[in-house]
Amino acid sequence: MANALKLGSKPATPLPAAPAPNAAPDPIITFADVGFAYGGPAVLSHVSFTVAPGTVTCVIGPSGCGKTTVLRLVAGFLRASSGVVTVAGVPRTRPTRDVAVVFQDYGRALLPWRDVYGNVSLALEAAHVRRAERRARIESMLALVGLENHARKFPSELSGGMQQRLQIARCLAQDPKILLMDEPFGALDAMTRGILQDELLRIQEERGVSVLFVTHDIEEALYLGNQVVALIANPGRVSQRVEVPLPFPRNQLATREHPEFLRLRRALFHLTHGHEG
Amino acid sequence: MKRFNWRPLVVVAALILAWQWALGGGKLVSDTLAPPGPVAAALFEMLRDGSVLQASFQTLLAALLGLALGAGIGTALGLASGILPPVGTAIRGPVEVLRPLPAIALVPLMTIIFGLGLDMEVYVVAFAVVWPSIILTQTAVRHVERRLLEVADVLELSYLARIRKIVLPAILPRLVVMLRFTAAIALLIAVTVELVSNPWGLGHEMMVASQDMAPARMIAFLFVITAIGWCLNWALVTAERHLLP
Repeated sequence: MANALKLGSKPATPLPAAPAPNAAPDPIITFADVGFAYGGPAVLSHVSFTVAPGTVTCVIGPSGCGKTTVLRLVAGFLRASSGVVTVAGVPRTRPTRDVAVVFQDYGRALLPWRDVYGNVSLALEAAHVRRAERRARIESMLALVGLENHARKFPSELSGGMQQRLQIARCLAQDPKILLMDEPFGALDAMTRGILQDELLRIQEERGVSVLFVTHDIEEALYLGNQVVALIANPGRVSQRVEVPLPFPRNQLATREHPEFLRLRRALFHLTHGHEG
Repeated sequence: MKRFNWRPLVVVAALILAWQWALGGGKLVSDTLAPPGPVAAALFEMLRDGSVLQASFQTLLAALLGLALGAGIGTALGLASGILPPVGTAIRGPVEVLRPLPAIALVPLMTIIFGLGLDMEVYVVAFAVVWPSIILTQTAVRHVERRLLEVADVLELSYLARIRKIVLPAILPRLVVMLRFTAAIALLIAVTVELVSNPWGLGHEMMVASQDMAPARMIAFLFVITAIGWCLNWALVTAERHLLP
């Protein structure tokens, strides 16, 4: 815990280089003193943080710290036991189309009986987009994630990385304000993971969507995030909130060798690994 | 081209020879048993005069109509109860009470209500089929991938769209298996109703042959029933292979 205190004593204000949203626009996601329990011991306790629109916030922490619960609260699958979770100022009570969820287990989140085109189409059908308009929108989504040449393949014929691209395409077809991602690249090999990280940042920039990204990988969190929220377990609570002042566009080599990246990585490592660090 | 598998045919030929030999090589004359020769002759005669086709049509019609009615209602109730928990709670009681009732025990009651004939047989078959259909559909719905239902939640799909786009395609493989299972029940019940009372179809013809002391004809009908059951299963297995990847 000594390390955590050391980090905490440093002001977590963004450096001038950071793409800090000017004049602090209203947050798109707000956690205000949120507690959650399934009936037994608290899973989350006194969790507070905000996400600025058009930014990427990464939630990290050891397993069992409630990161996925944070995401499911925003998704509307769960309701806060105490405190309040809001999206664009509205308390969350149920899932809605403007908050898309990219699941880690992409294989289970795709319709195996529909091809790539049909899977993206599902989101448009749900939004009652007229048939005539669908084709162009599906094709642009597939082009966005680089699947334009695989429209007639079925999920079982795609690699893991391509399946996750497909899930991202379907989520973007929802035209969401928020993209929730639950360890989306956790099951992929390191190379695919790096490529998808860069594509995510490009797409996020292009679409101006806000992203809440759950991961247990500190480097991934720092690489992707404007902000990193570190949780600790028993009960899940925020131990540190860090603004990441690294410049965009980020680069797999330059960003990861940036002194600030290394400093934050070290600080968060000690924080999440406790005494072992 | 798959190589023709001749082994099962050897077994069948051996069984027919054993049958012939057991009846004294055709020398034994009996009012209750018939050797293969006369059975084949009876079968040929029945095919020639069309009586077996008519009886088969009647049995098959009743079995399939009953199957359609029972499996249709059962699937609808199973779907509704799997998706709307209140429906599940509401039908649990009646299902548990009525399910153990042997369908065939309804024949007297159904005869009073509908009289002898097609209607009565269809309803008895439907009654036998509806319970396994409900239970197997409920199980199928319970096994739908939870992630897909969460995707449906996030997309705010209506109940109808959820059934049409997610649940039905997801349970299709299990529904086909359910249909294979209930088709066998439907045929079984249809023939039994005809054996017990309904004066038409294969069951009735068999009963008549038995009372006429015409064992060759009776056994020929047995073969026909077996063939129909086999064809029904083959059709559904083929459908399964075409529907499922």
